[in-house]
Amino acid sequence: MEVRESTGVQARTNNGMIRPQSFRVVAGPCTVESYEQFEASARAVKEAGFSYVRGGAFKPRTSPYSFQGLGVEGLRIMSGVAGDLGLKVVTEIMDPADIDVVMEHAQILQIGTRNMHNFSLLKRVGSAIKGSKEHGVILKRGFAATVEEWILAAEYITSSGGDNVVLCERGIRTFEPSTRFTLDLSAVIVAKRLSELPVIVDPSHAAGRRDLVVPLSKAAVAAEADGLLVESHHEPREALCDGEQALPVEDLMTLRETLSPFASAMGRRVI
Amino acid sequence: MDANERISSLRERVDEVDEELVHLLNERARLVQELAEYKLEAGIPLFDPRREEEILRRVVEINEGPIYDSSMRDIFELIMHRIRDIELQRRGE
Repeated sequence: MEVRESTGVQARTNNGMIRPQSFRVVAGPCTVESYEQFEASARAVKEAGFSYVRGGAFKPRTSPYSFQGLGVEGLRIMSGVAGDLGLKVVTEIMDPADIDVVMEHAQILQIGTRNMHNFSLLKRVGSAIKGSKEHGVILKRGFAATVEEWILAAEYITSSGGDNVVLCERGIRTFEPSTRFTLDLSAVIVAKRLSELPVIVDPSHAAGRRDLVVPLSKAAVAAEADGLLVESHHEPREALCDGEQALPVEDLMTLRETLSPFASAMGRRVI
Repeated sequence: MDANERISSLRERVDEVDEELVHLLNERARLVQELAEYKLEAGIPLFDPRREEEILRRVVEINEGPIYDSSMRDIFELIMHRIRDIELQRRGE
């Protein structure tokens, strides 16, 4: 078979999150814990040259007794800090009742792996962002969902009027215990070819381990992903959630430098 | 005609129908290939759930049995997806 060079990237969103020939990195802590913590994390995102910060205000924790997030207070902290630093905010939405307040404080609404099948939430989010040039959605793949189910979930959003949908592969549940989930990179390629939607990769949740985040990120670039959603924390050891998978903030610059030649080889620029 | 002869002659007929089906399925695949070229030009996704549903509804509408409507849907879903797989591969080549 003749090996052809990558023909470049067509994927984009009209709100500018995903751009042709670019590789978008979204970084930040799993959850907003305090103003100081989020400010330190967001500043590092800015210093690494990235322009989208992630952070959780509403957390879908496996146990109802785990930290559930700061809620609206967390949203206020995020939008305040991001506004001062000129960053865009990505945060998870879990409840249709929170859509307005989340859209007030964040540009990108994330639908988590556990909510990919929550069709009423998908439809509500789709109609809420309809016509907005500023807002968009990151739709994570359910950890036991097929690629087709994932694309059909995105269709619930787009058929309700919401465009600017970005798919996010975050690992699927397999029998392998050495990683938290198994990153399914073939799904990135298949989903892009089937749907024409941009696809980004979350190596943090897939691996559940910091040491695999950078190698998996390189692999994501090679698998034609359009970007990354990565967890970073200024004190991973003290993080209230997922500290073991968070990159220390000082590693964000290294991540950028490490990914740049890989992105160049794919005809992209890390942004 | 005894039972064995009947079985043989019916099996021959089944083989003929299978042959027709194989030709028809490949004809369908060729049409989809042609469509896929235009879809790529027009930026229409390879996976078009709205169109797939339209096709499945139509095959159920024209289905007279004995195959159940739900089974006919399953059969056609498989046909569509396997043909789509060919296109998926071609896009990567």
